[in-house]
Formats: sequence, structure tokens, C-alpha cells
Amino acid sequence: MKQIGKKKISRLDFVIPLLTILLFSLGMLTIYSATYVPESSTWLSPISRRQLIWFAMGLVGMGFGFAVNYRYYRKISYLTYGLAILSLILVLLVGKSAMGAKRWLVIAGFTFQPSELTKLALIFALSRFFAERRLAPPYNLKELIVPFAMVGVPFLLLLKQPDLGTAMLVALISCSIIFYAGLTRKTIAALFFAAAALGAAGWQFLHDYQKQRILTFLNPELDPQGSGYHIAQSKIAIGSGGLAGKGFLKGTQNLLHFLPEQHTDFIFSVYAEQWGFWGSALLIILFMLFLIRSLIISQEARDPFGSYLAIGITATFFWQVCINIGMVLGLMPVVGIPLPLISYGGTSLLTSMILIGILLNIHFRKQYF
Amino acid sequence: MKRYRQKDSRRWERWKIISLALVMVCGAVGLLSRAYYLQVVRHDFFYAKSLQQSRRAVEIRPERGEILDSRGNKLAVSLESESVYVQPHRIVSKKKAARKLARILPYSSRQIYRKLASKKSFQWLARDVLPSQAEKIKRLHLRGVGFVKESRRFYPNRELAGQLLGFVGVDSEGLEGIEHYYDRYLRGKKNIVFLERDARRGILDPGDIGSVEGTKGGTVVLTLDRAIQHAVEQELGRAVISSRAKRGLAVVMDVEDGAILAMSQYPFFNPNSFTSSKPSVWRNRAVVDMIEPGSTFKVFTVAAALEKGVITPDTRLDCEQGKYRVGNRIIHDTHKHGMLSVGEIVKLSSNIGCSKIAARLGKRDFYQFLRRCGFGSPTGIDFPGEKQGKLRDWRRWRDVDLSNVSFGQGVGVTPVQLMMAYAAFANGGYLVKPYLVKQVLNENGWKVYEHHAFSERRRAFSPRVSRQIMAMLEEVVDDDGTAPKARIPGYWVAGKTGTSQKYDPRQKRYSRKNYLASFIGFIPGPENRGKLLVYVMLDEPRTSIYGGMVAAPAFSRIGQRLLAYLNVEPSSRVMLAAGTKDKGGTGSRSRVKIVDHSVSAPIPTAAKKKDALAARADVMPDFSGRSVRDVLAYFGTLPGSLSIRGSGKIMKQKPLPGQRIVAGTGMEFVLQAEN
Repeated sequence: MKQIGKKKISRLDFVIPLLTILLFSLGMLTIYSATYVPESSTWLSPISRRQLIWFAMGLVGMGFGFAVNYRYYRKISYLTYGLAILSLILVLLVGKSAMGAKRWLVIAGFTFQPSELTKLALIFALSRFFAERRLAPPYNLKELIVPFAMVGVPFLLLLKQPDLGTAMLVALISCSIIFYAGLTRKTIAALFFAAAALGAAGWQFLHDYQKQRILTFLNPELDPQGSGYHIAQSKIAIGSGGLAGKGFLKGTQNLLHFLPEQHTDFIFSVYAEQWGFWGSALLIILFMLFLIRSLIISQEARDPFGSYLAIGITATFFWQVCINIGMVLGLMPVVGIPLPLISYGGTSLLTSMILIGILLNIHFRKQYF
Repeated sequence: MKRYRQKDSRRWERWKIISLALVMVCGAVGLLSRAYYLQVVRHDFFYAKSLQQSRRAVEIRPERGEILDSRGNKLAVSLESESVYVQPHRIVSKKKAARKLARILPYSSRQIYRKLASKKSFQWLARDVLPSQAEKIKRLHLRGVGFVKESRRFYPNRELAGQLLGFVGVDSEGLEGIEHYYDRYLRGKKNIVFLERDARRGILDPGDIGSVEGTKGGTVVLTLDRAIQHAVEQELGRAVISSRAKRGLAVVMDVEDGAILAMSQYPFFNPNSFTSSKPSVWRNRAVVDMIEPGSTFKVFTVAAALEKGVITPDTRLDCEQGKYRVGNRIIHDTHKHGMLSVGEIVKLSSNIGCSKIAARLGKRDFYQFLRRCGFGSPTGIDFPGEKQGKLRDWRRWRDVDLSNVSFGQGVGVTPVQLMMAYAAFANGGYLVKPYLVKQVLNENGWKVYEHHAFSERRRAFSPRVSRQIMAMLEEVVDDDGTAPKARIPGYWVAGKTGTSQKYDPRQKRYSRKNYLASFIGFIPGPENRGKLLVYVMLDEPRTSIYGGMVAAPAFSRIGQRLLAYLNVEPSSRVMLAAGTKDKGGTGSRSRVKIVDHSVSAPIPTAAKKKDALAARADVMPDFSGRSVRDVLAYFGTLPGSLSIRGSGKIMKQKPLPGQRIVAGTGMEFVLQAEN
């Protein structure tokens, strides 16, 4: 690793860090208001404090992701993938269960979600796989057997947890990378039908609560107090925010605890209730700027691995934002996908920031070496 | 690079990246438009929904109106009290809080701690705390401890008129008595306060969101007079205890307008703690209970016969020496009598005499007369749960039934029904609905309800009959009548005793042991009122079963206290009557005759004096020294009943000279022969 001199500072990307800070600040404010207790004795709720600590750790992670030459990740990508699969198996065996699902591993007192590691590992592994292909794209189905197997194993393990949301997310990220790698038209068509057939067949393997969620998504009036409750309350909160919002700490739906999971998965409704449509637009546009910037980074990468990696990271952010906000707005079924940089949650924040570090890494080294 | 040329590859790269960017833009646009739809297009809908969910309109009862007696004394008031609640999850240090609260509230810190440790979101700590306690707790500034103002009903006079006032439930809704009947006035208009609701716990935190102000309940002004009620209750209690009766009731009513001045019942009932009394004690038996009137009913037999003209006051009937057969039943009198005049039948309370009079009258006419007197239908008194009494249709009467009804058996009447009919004897034959509430005033003191006594009065029988019956009732209290103990020294009284066997539902016949002893009678009223009708009834007295022995003395004592309280001047007639005692039972009839005589006497200066008298038609002129004929000439038609005692020239008059003449108020003249 070379020393980063003054000249090289100019090569640093400022857009991504700026957007990261902005988004995190918005998230922090929202977490603060989501956990705000009017007559609390401490000015910062424990959750807000923990999120700040996680952010500090995230900065370390980001630095780590930035500092280590990303080409090194290529070397350890399959190892990471192996570790991720191992931890997914471990979590099924000795994981901590919550709400009927085993999703957490407890390591040295820290709870850790292997699904987050899986995202990272898959991006590494797929990037390496496509970067090392001798064969030029577009690929046909036969050539994609290995990458599909790479996706399939963690996908099934995640379904087993059961964590439908992350499984879907992992599949979508992988598909994005595979699509970016290039497919023949026939392959695209075949994959589309295969996905439809698989979805139909997979329905019966879904857990009851998952089926219920999808059904209520399709018809929210089915169960307004049960699974439909989350989404109905979220829509009320967002809708009642109006154009300009109710103001900071004035989100009544949030304060009066009508919103479920208000500091984690449904943080966007707390945000949108307070800041209104302008706030929602600002947040979505900030994310868009972030994604466009990372797409550009992917195009400027000096090698295919960096390019694939950046695409994978972009896809990760894009799909998480889409699924989370889409769910909160009632466009998608309720799945446990947090909003990156905004939702409360250590692992998610740490992963996001490591990914951002890697993105900066790719950018920084675009014309280097 | 094998499959594509360089150019193609580059184009492919570009297409891929543009399509990826397009997907992202599409995603962002999709999310934005959805957000726009929810937050802008459907904002009103969701906003309304959120309010609906988070705001609750809570109705807070306004202060309940007061119940006053006719002189403005408070009989029922609302005290604002505060109740303390806790929201356990918001209390920081439960042990400390419990210790602090225990120093103020009459609970141990352990008891309080148990409440603070409750898993509930809302827990009452203490209802109705003293204002000083509430103040102290407020000064502690404990988080999670709140106050709710509640209005509590309080009856400052405790048992006074308890059954009449009734009581209210926990939410201060009128459950019994006046509280119930006039609830719609007393309860006022609800305050509506908008509170914020919490999804998890449903906590209500009064915010500054807004409220709809209600109005305080109206003030109900009774016809009752606390002093009279108190006196009546005292005397009733004494009578019940001294006669060792099970219970008793006493009612005082103005015969002219039906105003109830006192309505009391023993055992007394304290509405402040209604839960500690049995429902049988709550019952206002004067209205909601039916009794067999017994002898007090006899005057209606006589009145019906007089009205119909089948007898005159002078008609004499053979009372068969105390035994008389009607159908398959032998009727007994308590004493053996031979030939008795109608007046003597009333005075001595002869069953046989009444039976014979009823036989002359016939079932249909008797029944119809009773219906006209209001029996068999509710009086319409402003009190909940009034009974209509029991009067079977005459077509279903056997001869025995006719005879039974004639002396008050086999009919059911409520005390107020009986009183309304009796009042007609003293007011010239009118039925006036008894009433308890004079008026209702709203918050600002405006009348929102007023009772109009004379608007619905109706004629039950002729003034002639009423005068004739009054004359007979006067004799009942003579030494040889059934109720000499009812007399009040210095005052005119009249009335009738009642002694009725109670029907024993277990043995399905009249009880030999259990009687109702009653006396119903009149005393002079104060200047601004008509005569007062007092009804005293003792249930199952043990010292004596006779109304004349146990109820009449109570009547007398109640009367004395009323007359003293109301400052009624002693009647000179009584002096006269005392002087003519030796004349015996014929006294009253001769008095009536004397009146007739004086009316027919020529008045030489009538025309001249009429002008002088006609100055103001609504003010009572001075008639002293004039004849009754002058009175009749002056008024043409009388505005109320007229009662004349003695003979000769007018000595005393009522209303007094210069007083306003109130329509329906009786006029009384005491005459004395010129020397």
C-alpha cells in the first residue's frame, strides 16, 4: 500500500462521504425522534446512543474497507464466501431465535447477523467469478450454472432461517451482478420463466406467516389488526405527514406508538410523518445521487473486479432502499429489510459502511497502479 | 472478447449501464410517486384517519345541578373531587414514589407500591381524595401520577327526604327519585375533551388539543320545605317507634295546587351511602306502593252518593247493630250502631252504613265516580315509578265487591292518589296533580321548566259535595268521633281515620295481626297557601291497630309543628266548636244551616257598598261586618273554594284585607251572630 500524499487527496471522492454523512444524520435524527420519550431523564435514548457507537465502529469499518486495496478482497472472496456459508449453517444449528426465526449468532457477547456477511461475501465471490471469466459475455444458461449455484446455496439457507427478505435481497443483488455480466436474450427469457415457475412452486414451501404477509400485501383489508396493521399504520403515518410534514418530534403516529418497528424497518414512516413529502423526496433523491455516483465509480474502476464489486454494492443499496421504502409505502410485502444508513441496527450500519469504504477504495484506485 | 467486436462490446457495456441506471431511476420515480400519492393526494384521508385513531373525544360530565327546597336550602349538591391515577410504566422510582405517597394517602406504602408495580397502563390510586391531599401530591411532581376531576354527589342533609331525592350512580347518572326523574335537567350538557390516545396502552393524556364546553346541570327547585320535611320526619319517626310499627310514611300537600311540602318515610334513607341500604328502603312508598285504603276510602262512597243525589247529609240508615249480610259475607262494624245519619257513618266509620250507601248508588255510578276522583290511574306526579293503583272494572264486581270497595277493601291506591282525591274536598272539588318540583333553573338562573298547577286541574265533584264532606270530616275529630286525638288545640282540623287489615299473601286472606293504621286530614294553611292535607300511615303498628289511636296523634303533632312554623293564626271557630261541644255531632249540620240562613238575609246597603268594594278586583277587600251574600255579590263567580263557619256577620276572613287573591286559593269566612 502506498502512502496517500497531498496530490492523491484530489483523487478522493467527496460525493459519497458527504451523502453518507447526510443520510446517516437524517437517520440519526429520525431514530432520535422514533425513540423519543417526552419526559425522559436522559436526553439521548439508549438506542440513539448505541447507534452512534455503531456509527463510530462503522467509520472504522469504512476506513478498513477503504484502506485495504480492494484487489486483496479478490483473494479472500471465496474464503469469505465459505465463511458466510458456514455461519449460515451455524446460525441454523446454534443461532439465537427471535420471533420464530433463527437469524442471529452470538459471538463474544455481540449479536451478529450472518445474512449481512452473506451479502458481502456473495458480492465478492460473484465479482471474482465474472472478473476471472475468460469467456466474454453475454452468457448462456450453461455458463451460469456455477454463479447460480453460488447464489442458490445461501439463498436456500436463508429461506430455511426463515428470512425471506434477505433471501430475496441476496437473489436480487446476485441477479443484478449476473445481468451486468451480460446474458443472451434467450437466457433472460428463460430465467424470467424459471423465476415465475420457481415462485409458484416455492409458495407451498413458505411459512404460514410469510404467506400471510404476501396475502395481506395483496389485500391489506384482510387483516387490519394483524399483519395488515403494520402497513396500515405506516401508510397513515406517512399520509398524515402531508406535503410539509408535522415537524421534528411532532409525528403523533410515532409518538403515540401506533407505528410498529418504528426505529428499525419502519423508520421511513417516522421520517416521512415528520418531514412530509418534501422530506421523502429529499431522502429518495439523496439515495439516487448516491447510487448514480456509485454507478459512475463502477464504470471508472480500473479492473473488471472493481467494476463488478461497485455494481454489486450499488445493487445492494438500491434493492434495500427499494424494498424497504416500497414496503413502508405499501408497494411491497412486509419483509425485514432495513433502510441502509437510516434504520437502527448495528450490523446493517456496519455492513453498509464497509461497502461504502470499498466503493471509495475502488474510486481511489481507479487510475492507480 | 472472442464473441464481439470491440465496438459491439463497448455498445453492450453502455446499454447495460444505461438500463441499470434506468431501473434505478424507475425505482426512485416509483417510490416518489407513491410517496406523493400517499402524502399529497390522499393526505386528507390519512390525516383524518390518524386523528380518528389518536384522538379520542372523551365526554366529561359537567357538574350536576343542585336540588333545592322551595326556600333555597340545598338538598343535593355536587362536590368536585379529584381522583389520583398512576401510569405505572412512567414512574421512575416506584419504591420512593410509594413511600412519598403513603405519607399523604391513607394507604400503606406497600399497598401503594403494589399499585405502582401493576402491569396495567392505567391504575386508580385513590378516588375522591381530599383537596388538601391532592394539593400535596401535586407538589411532589411525580412523573406518571395524574389527576382527574370528578364530580361527586353529596346530600348535606343526610337522611332528609332521602327516598324522595333518590341518588346517582358512579357516573353521576340519576338512578332513583328526583335525581332520576329530572336527570335530563340535572345532568347538564357534557363537556367534550379531545385526548390523545396511545396505541400500546391507550393512555389518555389531556393535551391542549381542544374541548367543547358543556354546561352545568340545572337547579331543580322542589316544592318541599326543609323545615317542614324535618319536622314531619321527626314526628313520623317518633310515631313509628312509639307504636312499634314496621315502617311509616307521612306526606304534606297543599290542597289548592298539589304542591308536596313534605314527603317522608321511615325507616329513613341516606342517599350518601345508598349501597348500604336495602332497595326496599329506597322505595318512595308514597308514590310507588299500593295500599288498601280502608276507612279513609269511605268518604268517597258518601261523596259519590251525595253527588248522585241518592242520599243527603241528613239521610239516616240502619246500621244493623254491627252485623250485616251482603251476599254470602257478613259485614261487621267495630261498634254496634242503630240508625245513623250519613255524617255519623263517616264520623264513626261504619262499614255497614257505607255498604248500604254503595248499594243505593250502584256499581256503575260508584265506579265512575271513583275513576273521576283519579283512582285506578296514575296521578302523574313528577316521580319515577308511580303505580296506577288497582280498581277493577265495575262489570266484574260482585255485590260483595261493591260493599268491600265502599269501605276501602279490594281496591289499591297509592298514598298520593288518595291525597289528590282528598284535596278535592278542601278545594271545592278539583283534582290537582300532586307535584314535587316547582321549577328548574339553568346555569344562568333562567327558568327552563315551571310547574303550572292549575292548567290541568279537573273537576271531580261539585263544590256542594266537597263542603258537605268537609263538614263530616270535621266531626271525625270530635270527642265521639274516631279520631279526637287528631285535634290541634286552637286550630280547626278535619280528617278521616283508616284502619285496614293487611292482606297476607301467604295465607291468602286478610291478616288478623297486621294492620295499616292511617289518618288523612286537613289543617289550615298559611296565608299564601290553601289548606294543608297531611297523611300519616303506620305499617303494622303494635301498640294499637287503630288509625285514630296511633296515626291521629302523629297527625296532630305534625300539624302543630307545621302551624307553628308557618305562623298560622289560631282559628276562632275552634273556640266556638269547643264551646258547642255539648251539642255533639249535630253541630256541623246546624252550622251549615246557619250559613244558609245568613246568605238569605237581606242586606240593606248592598248596592252602595259594592261600589266601594269593587275598587280592585284582584285584592281582597275587607268584608268584616258584612254578610256572606255581600261576598257572593262582590265576586260573582268565586275564584276558589269558599268555606264558611259560624253564623251572622263576617268576623274573620281569609285572605286578609288587602292581600292578593290567588286564583284557586280558598276563601274562608268566620261568622258570628250580631249582639
